[in-house]
Amino acid sequence: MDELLTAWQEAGEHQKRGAADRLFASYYERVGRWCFRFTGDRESAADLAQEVFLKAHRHLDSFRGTSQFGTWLYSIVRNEALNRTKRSSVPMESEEVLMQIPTLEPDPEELASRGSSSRRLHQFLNTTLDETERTVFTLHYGDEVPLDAITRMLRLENSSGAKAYIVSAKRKLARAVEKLFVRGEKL
Amino acid sequence: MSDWKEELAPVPGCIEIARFSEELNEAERAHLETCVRCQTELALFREIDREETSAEETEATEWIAGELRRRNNVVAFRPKRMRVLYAVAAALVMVIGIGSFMQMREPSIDVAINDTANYRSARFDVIAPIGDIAQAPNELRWNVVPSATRYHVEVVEVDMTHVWSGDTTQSHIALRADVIAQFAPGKSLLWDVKAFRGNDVLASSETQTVRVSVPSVRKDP
Repeated sequence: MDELLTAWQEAGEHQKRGAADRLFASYYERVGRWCFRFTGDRESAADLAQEVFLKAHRHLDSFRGTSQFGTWLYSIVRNEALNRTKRSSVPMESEEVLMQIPTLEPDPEELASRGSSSRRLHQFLNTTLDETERTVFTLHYGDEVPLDAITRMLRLENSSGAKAYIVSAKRKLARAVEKLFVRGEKL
Repeated sequence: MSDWKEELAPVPGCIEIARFSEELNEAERAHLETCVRCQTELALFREIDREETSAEETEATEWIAGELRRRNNVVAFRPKRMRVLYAVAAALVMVIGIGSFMQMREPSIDVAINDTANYRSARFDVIAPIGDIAQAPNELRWNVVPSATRYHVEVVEVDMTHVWSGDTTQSHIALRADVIAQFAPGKSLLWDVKAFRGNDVLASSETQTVRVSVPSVRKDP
């Protein structure tokens, strides 16, 4: 694949297009697999992959070789996939269920509104949550990815998927905040 | 939820996603230790890029790759005789299709060719900023495209992460302070602009790479 990248870089003006097509074609399988893992169905994945290659083609000149070409493509897939997931998401039952969970004061929204610095907040999340909870929490609250999509992307095999991790994370955060308050500390 | 979105957004110093397949340097490793955003991106990358593949994924991947080849007209190698047959068949279909269309269409009326046709898929030039610049720009400027009623501008990072986008009817657009702040010294950002009439794209600029080489602090007059 790197040979195809070199061929594109060294191609003359009239050969660039063909060289780019050959380069991209060598990534159809890999990008297709990523897109399928993000979307969960092959038709949407094909549409997503098509959009990714269009974007990559448009911005190919900006690839400077500081990373692997495949990972550069992955970053485009990731951004495009999460943007599409956000755009197509509708309020879900699982979200409503989360909103009804009682006795979780202060909830994450209130926590953030206290204006704590990002660094302290990240440290707090690091020490309070386990790795999967942090990942699910960040994708859901930071990137607004619906819980069912997170369950699929991360292959969470527990019965309630990402929802269980969000509930667990909120519970742990609430407890940790209470402890801070009792000690008279602020986040 | 919107506050969390801000708190968990990438910050200066966050590792470019495209770097995840490389060996991270000391500063990047230190950052990864504490940054929940980067930890999440790395976990997601490892999960999506895992080598282990299920039968369903293999089948889907083959179908998607085939679909991409079909859409992009990338022809896999076939024996020469088959290729000739495909070409003859395609030519026949085209001739029949054009013939049917000519027979079925209504008598033409004279319609003036409008500017849309002239500018569709065309390129136009931006004015500034371009390349290495001394300080962060206040605005983005480009040449006027005749007939354009709106311009859509987008600024992205080199890995296509969206930074900002805006619309204007002018051939320039002012940048907000938080967008200007994104033009940090040494950091490359890309921008381009599309000219629209209604929902039709009349023309697009080339993507410009901009990098500020000195601190972007601007003095008050």
